[in-house]
Parts: sequence; structure tokens; C-alpha cells
Amino acid sequence: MRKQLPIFIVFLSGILMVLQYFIPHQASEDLFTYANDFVIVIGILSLPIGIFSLLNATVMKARREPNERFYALVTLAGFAVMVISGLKREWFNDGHGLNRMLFQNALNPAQSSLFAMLAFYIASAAYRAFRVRTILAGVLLVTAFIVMLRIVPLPGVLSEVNGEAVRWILGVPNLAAKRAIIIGVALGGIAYSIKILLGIERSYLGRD
Amino acid sequence: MSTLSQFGPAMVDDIITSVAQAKGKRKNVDYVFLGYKPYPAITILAMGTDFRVPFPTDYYGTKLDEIPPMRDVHNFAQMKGVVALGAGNVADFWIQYGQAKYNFPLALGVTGVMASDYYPYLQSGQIFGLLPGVKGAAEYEQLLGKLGAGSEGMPYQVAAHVVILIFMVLSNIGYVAQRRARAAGR
Repeated sequence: MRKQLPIFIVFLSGILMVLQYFIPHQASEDLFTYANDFVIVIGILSLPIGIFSLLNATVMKARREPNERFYALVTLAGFAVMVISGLKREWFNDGHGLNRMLFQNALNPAQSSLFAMLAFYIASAAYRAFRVRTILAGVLLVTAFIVMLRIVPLPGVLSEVNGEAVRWILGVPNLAAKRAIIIGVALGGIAYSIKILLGIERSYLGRD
Repeated sequence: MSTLSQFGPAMVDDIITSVAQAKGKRKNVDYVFLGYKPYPAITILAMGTDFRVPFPTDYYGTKLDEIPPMRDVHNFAQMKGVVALGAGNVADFWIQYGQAKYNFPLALGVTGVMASDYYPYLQSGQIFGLLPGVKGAAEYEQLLGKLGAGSEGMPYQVAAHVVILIFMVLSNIGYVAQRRARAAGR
């Protein structure tokens, strides 16, 4: 019963939601809205688990590794300040409040810096990875070179030739590969979903 | 406008406030900002039923029925189209759960590295437009004849790509030279 009941609930709710998706009726929409409330409630219930997990992992790390204590403190302080500063809608929406100030002056620059560092990583990776070791590596190199060259301003004719080459690469081989991947992933997703609905795939139930 | 990313609300609020001030546009008259809701797929599907389901009030707490431009707007059927701008996988949700089910015209603005993923949807007509990265933004500004942040970002984009291209060339020159030196040593 410990296994059959969850499988039955999954089967019933899964089939119900599949049918709901294809029925354009108000009752179907009401059912969808009602089911969404469940998802939101489950999501809200998972929030305290996430918070506990973050706090627990940070505190444990600080205890075990003295060198990490400063970073752990920054994490905990950042967490506390951001939560408190956004507790009330007015505090969160205030364009000059603490939450917005931290967003604009701490989070935004940190994210921009991390993203900007990607350029250096990519440059370093380009130096190490794009080497003509094999024919396939050569094809990859030439393709990457042509596609990246479209960002660089080139003299008139060269720009047109490069533009046409990029359009062909993105519109023919790239498109064919992407479409195959998308169709493959979709078929895999459908097969996996059917296995879950029919109770064949049970890994979500845990091991015991 | 709405956002499906947790970093979106403050970003969108900052941008629309400054753009509205510059263009003389008024909140809840010329534009509406619905705010943020988690779970992109569910939010998009719920927006297809009625915007009031995921967003009973706008970002600033005003009920949607009290906002004049929203009074007769209930779902995507009353919209001319949707433009989704994002750096994550939210664009996938807009295609799979929004456009596929509700069949509205959809355009995407994504980062440069994501752009190649969305060409199949452009060719199939599921999206009517694609702004790929800073270059796409700069090209769009060129089309409008109003240069802005996209065009300002292009020199940095070009510099980064030139550095990468130079590294690729140097790396291969070194690799070929190394192989020749090894072959000569045998």
C-alpha cells in the first residue's frame, strides 16, 4: 500500500492533467487553476526546507573549516538582510529602499562581474580547445571562427560573404541538429512521462 | 509587462521607471507592470486562462480591474503579441506552454550563445522575431534609427570576440609548430 497509493495518485492526477490540457472548457480551466494552487502550496512548503538547508550547510561549513568562516558569515548576513529588507511589499517596491539599494549596488555588479569574467574563461578555453587535432576538430574550429567573425566589423564584400556563410551554418546544419535534438528530447520526455504515469518508473518514490 | 525571473522585478521596475520618465509615459496608463511569479510554466498557462489568476494585482499592489488598460484584457487572446526577453530557459516555457497552446505571435530576445537554439522555432514560424544578444539589440536599434545601450555595448563585444579569434589562431600556430618540431626531432 505504501507504494501503490502514491503510484495511483500520480496516475490519476497525471491523466487528469493531460486530459485537462486538451479540453477547452471553463470547468477544465477551473480544475487547472485549482491544481495550480496545490503546486504553489507544495512550492511554499519546500521554501523552509531550502532555507534550512542553506543555513545548515553554511553553519556546518563554518564549524568544520575556520578559513571559510568569513564567507559563511557574509552568506548568512546577506541572507538575513535581503529577507528583512523585502519582508513588506512597500519595502521591496521602494525604489530608494535598502532592498533596491542592495540589488543595484551589490547583486547587479556582482552578477555583471561574474558574467564579464566568462569572456576570459572563453578566451582561455578557445586557446586550449580549438586545436586542429582531428578532422572533426578542424570543422569545429572553422565553424566557430566563421560564426564568431560575424560580430567583428569586416570590409563590405567580406562582411556579406561571412554573413551568408553564418546564415547557412545557422539555418542548415545547426537547424537540422537542433531539430533532431529537440524531437529526441521531446520523445524521450513523453516516454519518461508515460513510464511515470504507468508506475514503471518509480525512482521518485525513493529506494526503500 | 511581467517577469518570470526572481531577479526581474527590481530590474524591470528600474528600467521602465527611467524609460517612462524619459518618454513622458505614465504608469497604469501607457504601461502596466504585473510583477513576478515563480514557476514559469504554471504562470504562463494561468495567464492563458486569465491574467488575474497569477497576478490579481500589479507589482505596486493595484487590483488589475482598477487599471484602465487592463479592464477588458483577460488573456493572450486580447494581446497583439508577446515579446519575451531573458537570459535563462524562460524562452522555452513561452514557446512550449504559451505559443504552442494559445497560438499568440511571439518574439524572443535572448543572449548570443542561446540564439542558435531558437532558429528552429524561427524557421517553423513559432516565433516571428529573434533578437540575438547585444548584436541583435544593436541591429534593432539601427532599424529603429535610435542608437542606445545595445550599440554602446558593441565595441566591448567586438573586442572580446577579436581576442578569442586571435587566441584561436595563435593556439593553432603554436600547435602546428609544436607538431613540426616533434616530427623534425624524430
